[in-house]
Amino acid sequence: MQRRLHVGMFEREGDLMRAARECRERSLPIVDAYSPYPLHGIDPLIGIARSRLTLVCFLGGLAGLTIALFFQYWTSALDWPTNVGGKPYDSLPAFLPIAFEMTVLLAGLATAFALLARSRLWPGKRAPKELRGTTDNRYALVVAEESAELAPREMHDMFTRHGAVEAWEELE
Amino acid sequence: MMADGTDVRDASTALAGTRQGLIVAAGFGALVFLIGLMVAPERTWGGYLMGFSYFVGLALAGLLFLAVLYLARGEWAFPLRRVPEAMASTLPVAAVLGLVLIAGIHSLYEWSHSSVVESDPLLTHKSTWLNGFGFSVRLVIYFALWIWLGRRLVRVSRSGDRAAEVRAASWFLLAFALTFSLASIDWVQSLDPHWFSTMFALRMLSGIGLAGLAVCTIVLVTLRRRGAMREVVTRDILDDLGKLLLALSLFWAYIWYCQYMIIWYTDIPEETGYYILRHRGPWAVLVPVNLIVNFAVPFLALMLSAWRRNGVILRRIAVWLLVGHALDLYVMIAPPLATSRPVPGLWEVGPLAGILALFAWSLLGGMQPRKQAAV
Repeated sequence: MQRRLHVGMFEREGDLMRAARECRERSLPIVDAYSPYPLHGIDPLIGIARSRLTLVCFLGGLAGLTIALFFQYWTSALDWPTNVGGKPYDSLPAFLPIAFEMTVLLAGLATAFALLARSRLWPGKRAPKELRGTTDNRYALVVAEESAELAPREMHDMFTRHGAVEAWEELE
Repeated sequence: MMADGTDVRDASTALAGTRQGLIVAAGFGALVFLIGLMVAPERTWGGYLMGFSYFVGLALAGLLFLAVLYLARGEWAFPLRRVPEAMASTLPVAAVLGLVLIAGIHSLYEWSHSSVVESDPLLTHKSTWLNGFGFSVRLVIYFALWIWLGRRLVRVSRSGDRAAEVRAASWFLLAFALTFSLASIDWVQSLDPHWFSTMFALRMLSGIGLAGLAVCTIVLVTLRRRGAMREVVTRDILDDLGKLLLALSLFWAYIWYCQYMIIWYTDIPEETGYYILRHRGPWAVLVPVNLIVNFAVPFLALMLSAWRRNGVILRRIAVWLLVGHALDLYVMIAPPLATSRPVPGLWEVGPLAGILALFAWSLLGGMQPRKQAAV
């Protein structure tokens, strides 16, 4: 289905946030916001639900901790007991630095890969929508037109009222 | 700025009645302390030193929080800064407690007895630094510097001059890093005068950071629940405070382990004495308890954002952390004074509780606008 999209291009972060807030209040369907960097507090405005990435991160960390502790215990106390400085074979304090590193590593990797998978991103992927300047110094807000009530002129006015430097419409 | 003032004023009327109860509690603590001095001076002074370290730590944590806030331009917390300012305003009371501590040198510190020092080459060697006169002079210098630089830091926050804020914060942090390290050695580390750890100041710092932020959290949640500062202390701010507590709890555990691991691995006699006293025999039970209370429980509890965003639960975790800090200080201070076994009785708990009541009393006093203007 073809949709008509209204794009507002802003030069200031605050302008985009205000425009997004107005869209939210008038329940206009925001498709997405484009920005050169993550905007603090934009998620609820453009209707993004709370991320579940933290759970992935936690499970990744837990896996890293378990694997590292078990592996070190197995290598240094079970499979090939080694006397290091007269310490007991199963010396927990000696295992902790590696356990810590593995926790951080697996938590980090799990989070990064889960993010890429969930957002369907991979190296070399072409951007589904290119808005010039939004990787540079501009902020864009894209709103879909779902009913005929939304007059194009009105959208244009709303964007410029919030300080948009450009506003146009296009077909998806 | 004015808006903050009125918020604090609303809150302090709501909290005014509590102050009377607190000063009575502090009075009881003083009574127990005086009786204890006759019955069991070592244990009583140990409890006093715990309370004193606790109090000074919280007052300094307020200044530390402010200084870091200004240097990092942490604007999210600017509306909240009256709370750490009020914590810092208790510093003169801590200084008075410090002067009282000088009277307890002989009960607390092995290095203060000349007969012991003379028969011990290492203590003779250290006596250039560890002697009663130096201890007292340094104590006065530490407090003079902290109060002077701390007042500057609080004063510039009212001027709104950003460059001056950064300057005052930098001077305070510079002086704090040096004096706090030395003060930790003087007051706590020298209880085991043969032992030393280059991590010790950080060990103390991680403790006061955690406890200081816990106090901030308790005050802010209480204000919020009584209707004051509701617009400022949003759920997002509670979430941020919870995350910061989580980070500081991790930092505490990290520093705890750093000091322990290096001594455990190297295993040389001049360093291991400290841990043999605490990790062998009857004191050993407190070691895992300390780690669970200050690290494992808050680490897991603060991971849930639903709990961080819930003021009541967040405050419970903060209170838990304050108990944890008392335990942490107990493990550091009590073993060399009463080596037999951990028996936190009236003589330890009385002075500690009294001093904490005194802290809460002066904290609430510091939150009254009239007193605050004098700072």
